[in-house]
Amino acid sequence: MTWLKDKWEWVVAGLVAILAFVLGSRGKNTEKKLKDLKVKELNIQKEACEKELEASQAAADKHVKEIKKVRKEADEKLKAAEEERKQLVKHLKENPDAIDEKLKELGIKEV
Amino acid sequence: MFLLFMSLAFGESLITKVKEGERAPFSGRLFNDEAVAVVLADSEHAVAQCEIRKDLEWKTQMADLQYEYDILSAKHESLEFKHDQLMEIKDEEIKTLMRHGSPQRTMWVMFGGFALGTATSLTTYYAVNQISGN
Repeated sequence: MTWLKDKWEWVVAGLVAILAFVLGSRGKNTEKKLKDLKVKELNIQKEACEKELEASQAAADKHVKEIKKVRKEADEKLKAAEEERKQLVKHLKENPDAIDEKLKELGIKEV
Repeated sequence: MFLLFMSLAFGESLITKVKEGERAPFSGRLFNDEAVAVVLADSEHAVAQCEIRKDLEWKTQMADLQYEYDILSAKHESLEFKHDQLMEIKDEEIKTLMRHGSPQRTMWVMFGGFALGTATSLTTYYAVNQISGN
């Protein structure tokens, strides 16, 4: 007790220092948390960009695939139509009655 | 013969069969069967070709629009994700800042500081008096 009376200034100074340290560390913790949140925010923005890029890439791939498919189908149909034309020419050349029938269908009168 | 004259008078499309050496009953172009076959087949082929090209154009446009939709959908999903996540973070940030620097807390710190200062002054005064007394 006598020691406390003799050194009371040091005790008070020590208590004030501890209080200042506690308050300071609490402020530091808040700053750390805010910093972590900022890092988290940046990571989320990066993740969102990556997701968008990935989805856009998938959409582009799908589009290219679809266009190729559509063009291939059209090419096949055009080839089939060309083949049908050749067959029709052959059929008409061999069947003059079929020519008459076609001309009739077109509204050309035979006299 | 009457039909031929009537048709010629009205300028209708006509065709007649003639054999080699026969006189043509009206002016025009004489095609052999092969040429007529080609003309007829080409006419049908042109229609089929037109249908195919129209179908190709339609499907290409549909694919383009689908692509645009997919891109916008990707953007929308990304923005929605970003928005939800950022809202959570911002809420947490607000809570942290409120905890750190809320007006109520500031008021307590102020009163606490005042009380502590007063207590320190009184203690010092008491201690000095005690020392002077001794």
